[in-house]
Amino acid sequence: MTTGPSVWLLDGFRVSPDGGPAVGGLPHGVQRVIAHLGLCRRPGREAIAGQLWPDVPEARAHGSLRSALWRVQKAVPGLVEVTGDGLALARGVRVDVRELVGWVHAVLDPAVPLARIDRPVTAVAGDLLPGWYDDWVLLERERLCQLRMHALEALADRLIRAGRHGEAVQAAYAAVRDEPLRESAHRVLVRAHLAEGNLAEAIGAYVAFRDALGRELAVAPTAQMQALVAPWCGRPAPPARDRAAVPRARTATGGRRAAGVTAR
Amino acid sequence: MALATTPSVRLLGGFALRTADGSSLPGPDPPRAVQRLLARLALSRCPDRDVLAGRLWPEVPEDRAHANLRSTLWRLRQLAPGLVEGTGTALVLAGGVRVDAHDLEAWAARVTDPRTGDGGLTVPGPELLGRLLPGWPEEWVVLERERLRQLRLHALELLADRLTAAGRPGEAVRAAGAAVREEPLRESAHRSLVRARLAAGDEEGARRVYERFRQLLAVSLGAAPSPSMTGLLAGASSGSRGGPT
Repeated sequence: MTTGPSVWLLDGFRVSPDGGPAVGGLPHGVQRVIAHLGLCRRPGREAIAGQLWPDVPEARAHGSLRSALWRVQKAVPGLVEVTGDGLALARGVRVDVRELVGWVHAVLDPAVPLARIDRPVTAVAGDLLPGWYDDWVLLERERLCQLRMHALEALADRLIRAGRHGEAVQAAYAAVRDEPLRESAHRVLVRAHLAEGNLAEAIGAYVAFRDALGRELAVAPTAQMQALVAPWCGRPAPPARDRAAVPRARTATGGRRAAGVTAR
Repeated sequence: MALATTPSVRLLGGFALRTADGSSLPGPDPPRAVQRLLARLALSRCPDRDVLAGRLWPEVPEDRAHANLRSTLWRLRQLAPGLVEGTGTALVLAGGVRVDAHDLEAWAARVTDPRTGDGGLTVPGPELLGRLLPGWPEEWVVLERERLRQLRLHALELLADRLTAAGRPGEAVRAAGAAVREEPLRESAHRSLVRARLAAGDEEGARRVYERFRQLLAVSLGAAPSPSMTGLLAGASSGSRGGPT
């Protein structure tokens, strides 16, 4: 399907003039300009040159920006629009991050009916520009991650209320995967299992979370979490099998991000 | 490319590699590092080399991780040329490579899509019913294993209900039975199986399913089936046994 120029920033950088195959071989400096424009709406030249080349004199930074823009124009004509002092991706350019944010707003807006939120949760997964370590990327990556997890939990909640339990489990589990020690994600997962009448799955999910939390942080789940399964919890757990939903080696804050390489 | 000659990576039920000529690799299984690289490429959507090296070898310094990645790629190319394509900083499975976990996702998406017609409602064969890389302890495998397990169970249950509604109770029993076997304590799977048996006119079989589940739940968790389970049989003709006790 061709849909006009597209920029993908989740799960790695890609750009395409027509929504089809990605343009290969773009130097990192050019990728950074496109990515930055994809994340900011309409930064001034000063701001973008300063952020992208913080360690060089201003004149050098502007020179680098000019040459990067020239290469962008050659590789994907019409991708960037220059107006006065401002730079922006042209109207109609699709950016996956903007679509993710649009999806988050739709999920969190009670006025938007569930029927209009038809994007599968796997389609909004992905880290922002993995392997990039610029400050503006790190901050935005964390912000998007929090936004998505919050929206996934809210979506799971809405799906439970709509009786769509299987999809609720998938949404809740997507949040669990992003942050395996986040209790609110596990709570909604347990509630989705309970709403479907799947007591054993609920207890299994609870026990996996409780054990991981004890192992990694030496704390217990909150009373709110314990209350969900309290009626059954003095009982023996379901048969232990190869099913722990929460893995070991994981640190408290964003183990997945910390587990990546540390410098480019 | 003809199906028989498409190289494929099997992850469900255990790792296996079939090369382009359709045969399995001669000799012992590929080294574990090669297996992990292929599994990671098949399961991750992020093709960045740096990220890949860091996640496959998180405990070693960056340059060591990169050296490991290079040597693993070299070994893979000796074993099965053409499986992986590298472009600049990206690394992906080659276009024609089949991955059974992707087939599982495609099947689940099809049978849960309300727009799918009756013809698309198919009960999967055993090749899609295995656990993802059983025994692998890596966190990205554990998380993906559980996600795929939930996806498959839910899709099997929904498929069974749709087959029941479409007047194909025999296939519905097979679909729900697969879910019950995978998770003997899962109530929603048993509900689908009971519904399928009732639709097939097998009330006795439905009651047996119910009774077995009720006992297992009582023994394992000291709990009783939920009202939506007991309601299924309360609606059926007055049998010898009632709801839960």
